[in-house]
Amino acid sequence: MFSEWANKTWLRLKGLFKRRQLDRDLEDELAFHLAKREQRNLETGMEANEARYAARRQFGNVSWTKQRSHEMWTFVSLESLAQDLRYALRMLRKSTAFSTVAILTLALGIGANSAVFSVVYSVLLKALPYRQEQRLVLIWETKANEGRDHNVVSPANFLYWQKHSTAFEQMATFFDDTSTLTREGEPEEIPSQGISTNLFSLLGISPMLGRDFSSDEGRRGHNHQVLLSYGLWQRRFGGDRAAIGKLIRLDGESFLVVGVMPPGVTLFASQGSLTEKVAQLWWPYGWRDEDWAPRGRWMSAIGRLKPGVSLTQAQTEMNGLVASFTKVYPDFETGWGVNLVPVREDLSSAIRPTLAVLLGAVGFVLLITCANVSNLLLSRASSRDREMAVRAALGASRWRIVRQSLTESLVLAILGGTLGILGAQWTLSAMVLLIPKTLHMSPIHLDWRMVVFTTAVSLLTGLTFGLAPAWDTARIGISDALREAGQAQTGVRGHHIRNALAVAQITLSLVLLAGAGLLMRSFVMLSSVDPGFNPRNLLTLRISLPSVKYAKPNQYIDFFQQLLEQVRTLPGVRAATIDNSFPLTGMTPGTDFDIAGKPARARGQERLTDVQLVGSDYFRTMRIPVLRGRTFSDREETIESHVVIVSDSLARQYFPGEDPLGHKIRIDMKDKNDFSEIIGVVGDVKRQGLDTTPVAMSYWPHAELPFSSMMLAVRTDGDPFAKVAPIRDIVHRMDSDLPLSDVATMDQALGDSVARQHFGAVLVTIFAAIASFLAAIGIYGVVAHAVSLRTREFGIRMALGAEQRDVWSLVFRFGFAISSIGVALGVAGTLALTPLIRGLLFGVGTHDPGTIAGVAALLMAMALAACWIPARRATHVDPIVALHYE
Amino acid sequence: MKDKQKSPGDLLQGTLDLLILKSLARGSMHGYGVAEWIHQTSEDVLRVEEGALYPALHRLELRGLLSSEWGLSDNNRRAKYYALTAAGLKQLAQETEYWRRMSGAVARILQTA
Repeated sequence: MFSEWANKTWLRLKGLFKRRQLDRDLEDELAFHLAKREQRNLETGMEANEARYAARRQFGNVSWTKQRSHEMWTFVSLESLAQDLRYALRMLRKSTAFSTVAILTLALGIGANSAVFSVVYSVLLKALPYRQEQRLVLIWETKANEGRDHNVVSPANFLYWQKHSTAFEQMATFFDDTSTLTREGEPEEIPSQGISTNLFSLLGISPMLGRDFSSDEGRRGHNHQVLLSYGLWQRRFGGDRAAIGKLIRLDGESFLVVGVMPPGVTLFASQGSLTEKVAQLWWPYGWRDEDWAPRGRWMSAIGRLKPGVSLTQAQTEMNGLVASFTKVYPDFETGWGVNLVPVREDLSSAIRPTLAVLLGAVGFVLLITCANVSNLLLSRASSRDREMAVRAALGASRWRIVRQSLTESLVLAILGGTLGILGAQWTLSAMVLLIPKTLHMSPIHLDWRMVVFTTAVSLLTGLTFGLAPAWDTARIGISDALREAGQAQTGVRGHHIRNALAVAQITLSLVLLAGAGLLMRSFVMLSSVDPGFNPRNLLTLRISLPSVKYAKPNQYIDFFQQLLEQVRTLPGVRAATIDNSFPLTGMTPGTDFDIAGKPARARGQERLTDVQLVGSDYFRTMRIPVLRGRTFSDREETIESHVVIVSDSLARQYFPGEDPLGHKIRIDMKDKNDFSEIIGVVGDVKRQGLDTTPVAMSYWPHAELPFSSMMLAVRTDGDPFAKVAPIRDIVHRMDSDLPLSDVATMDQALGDSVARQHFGAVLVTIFAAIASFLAAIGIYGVVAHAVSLRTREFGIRMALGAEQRDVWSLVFRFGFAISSIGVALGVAGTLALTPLIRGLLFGVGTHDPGTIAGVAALLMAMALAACWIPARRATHVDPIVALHYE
Repeated sequence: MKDKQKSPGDLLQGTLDLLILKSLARGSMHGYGVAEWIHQTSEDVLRVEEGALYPALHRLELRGLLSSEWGLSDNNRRAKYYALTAAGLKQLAQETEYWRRMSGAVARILQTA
C-alpha cells in the first residue's frame, strides 16, 4: 500500500517539475496512435481525409483524454488553480470597465471596514497595557439626587476603604495636575499625575529604567521623587540614561528622577481629570494625618479585585463600608454612595456609542459592496453563458466551472482588498485626526491583526458574491445554454436575484443616509447652540505661579493685575481678563451655600453652586450679558469685599419670584466663610458643553479667593494667535521661569467640545455617501442590463412606431419600480433602527420627518439619474441594428 | 441531450484494466497495439472508445502495475511501450481468477433459469 502511494507521489512530483516534458510525451503518444489508426484506415481503402476523420472519431474526445491523463500525472488542484488564476486575470484585464468598478467598489467597502475596525480594536478590544486588566476597577463616588455617578473621591474615604475592604488586593489613587519644569531650557508646564506609591505595582507596570516609588516616599515631606514618561524623557532629556538620579526643578522645588516608564503607559480617567490631559510625569502624593478626616473630593481611585471576587460582591462590600463611614461623618457623607466600574468600560464609555454606530455603518457599506459586486458578476455571468456552455461541452466538469467563477471572484476580492488596505491607511489617518484627543488611549495604527481581518473580509466577500453567479452558471444545462446563449431568456433567470440585490442596496443606503442625516443635523443643531458668551477672536492661556516663589495670596492678585494692565496696552487687544477656568476648558469647583434669612436645607438637599473666580472686565471681555445690577468695581477686584454676581439659573432656581439683588449668600468654599452680597445677575453660560444645561453659578472677584493658577482671556482684533508672542514677552519680563500653557482659542475649545459628535457625523456621512454612490452604480447596472437584453424589443417597438417618449417611460418605469420598493423598505428600516442612536442625537427626533423625507427624495433622484444613461441608449436604438442584434 | 462525453467506452473500468493487463501478458506493446489486440481478440464485440484506453494505461502505470519506456516503432516513430511489472503480473492472476469465478457463477445462474 505504502510503496504504491510513494510511487504515485514520486511520479507526480516528477510531473510537477517536468510538466512540459509530460505534456509533450502525452501529445506524442496520442499522435502516434492517431497516425497508426489513420494509416490502417488508408490500408483498408479509405480516402485520405476520410481516414483521418475516422481515426479521430474512433478515438473519441482527444482533449478529454489529455485532460484525464494530465490530471493523473499532476497535483490537479495546484495545477488547475494556477490555470484558473491565469485565466481569471486575463478575463479581468479584458473587461477593464467591469474590473475597475468591481475592484474600486470592493476597495471602498473593505477600506472603510478595516479602518473602522482598527479604531474599534484599539479603543474597545485591544488589551490595555495593564496586568490582568479585567480585575481592575475604577472607584467613583456617587450622589444620586444630583445624578452624579462618576464623582471624584475624598482622600478620607479612600483611606477608610483601603483599610477595611477585603475584596481588593490593592487600592491606589491618582489625580491629574500640572508641574512647571524650569532650568532645563524653556520653562514648560507639563501635565503630571500625583499618585499613591503603589499605583504602578497595582497596574502591573515596572519602570523600563530606574525604579518605582517606595512606600515611604508617599509621606508629606518625603515625596520629592519623579518618574518620567518615555515621551518626556526623549523630548526633554534626549533619552539619556544619565537622567536617572538627576535633580530637576518642578514648580520651583527639587525632585529626584528615579525612573522612566515604558512607552504608552497612561492611566487617564476623563471624568476625574482637572486638566483633561494625559500625564507625562508622576510624583508620589504625600499623605498627611489630616487626610483621614473628610474634606473635599478630588482624587480618582482604582482597585485590583482579589481573584474569585466578583464585581457585585465588591460593590456590596463597598456599599457596607460607605454606610458605616456615613455614621461617623454624617455631615460629609449623607447622600453619597460608591460606584465600581471595570476599567475598560470606564475608559471607553464616551466613544463607545459612536464606535458602535460606525461599526454598524461600515457593516452596511460592506453588505452594499457585496450586493454590488454580486450584481456585476451576475450580469457578466449571464453574458458569458455561451462561453461556459462551450467549456462544458469541451469536457470541463461542473465543479471546474463553478471553481473558475469562484477563482475570478476571489481574485477580485484580493485585488480590492489590497487596494482597500491602502485606502484604510488613508481613512485611518483621517479618523485619527477626527477622534477627540482625550479619547485616544493608545496610538491607533494599522497592525497585522487588521490586515488579517481585511483579508478575511475580502475572502468572505469573494465567496459570498462568487456563489451567486457560480450557482447560476452551474444550473445551466449545456445544451440549453448553447441553444439560448446570447438571447434574453438566460438573463431572465438572473433577473430576480439582480433586482432583489438592487432593492437591497437602496434599502441599506437609505437607512445609512437617514442615520447620517440625523447625526449631521444634531451636529449642526449643537454647533448653533448659543454658549452664552461670544467665542470669536478670544485667546485663552494658563499661567500657574509656583508656590515656592509666590507664597502669599496678595502676590497672586498683584501678579495678575499687573499682567492684565500690560496686556491691555498691546495693540490689537480689545479687552482682557482672568478666570480660574474658562467655559468648556476644564472642571469648575462646586459647593453648597446658604441664603441669609432662609432656613438651611437638609443634608443631601443642600443648595449648590459652581464658583468662578474672575478678574476685572470679565463680563465685557467674554460678552456675557449683565441682566440686572452691576459688575465688580476696581476696588472690589483688588480687596476682599464680600460681593458676588450670580447666574440667571441660580437666580431662577433659588430666588423664584424674588429679586436676588441685595440678598446675601454664604458659599462654603473657604476656611472661614462670610456672607457675600449679590450685586448683579448675568446670563447663563454652557460651561460643561453645548449639550448640557447650565448649572447655578456664582462669580467672585479674584481677590475674594486668590488662586495661583489662572487663565488669561484676551479679546483680539484679527488672529488671536498673533498675540501669543507679545504676551509671552510680557510674562517673561515679569518672571522668566513662567511658562504659558494650554494656549488655544475659544473657537478651538468649542470645536473640541463637539469633536465626538463631529467625528461621528462626518464619518457616517462619508460612509453613507459611499453607500449611495454604490447603490446608484447598482441601479445603473441593473437597468443597463435590462435595456441591453431588451434592445431587440425596443428596436421592434420603435420600428412599429413607438415614440422615444414611450421607450423613456418604459425604462424609467422599471427603474422607478425598483427604487421605490427599495425606498419604501428603507424608510421602514430607518424607523426601526434609528431609535438605536437616540443617545447620539441632539435637538432632533429619531423619526425626524424632514430628514427621512429628504434622504428618500435624494436617493430616489440619484436612482432615477442612474437610469438616464441606459434610457438614452434605449431610445437611440436603431431598429435595423436591433433586429440584427444576436 | 445528456452530457456529451460517454463513460470510458461502454466497459466497466475494472474490465478495461483486466483487458489491458491481459494484452500485455504476451510482451511489451504500445497503446495502439493494445487497442488493436482488444478489437481482434474480442472479434470487435467489445467496442472500446480508443481514447479511453490512455487514461487507463496511465492510471495502471501510476499504480505501479505497468512500466513504460520510449522506443521506436516499426515505421521509425517515437512510441511509448508498456510492459507488465511483477505487481502487474500478480494483479492479472488475481483478476483473472476473480473473473473466472464471477462468470462461472453468472453462467450457472443463467442455466438454472
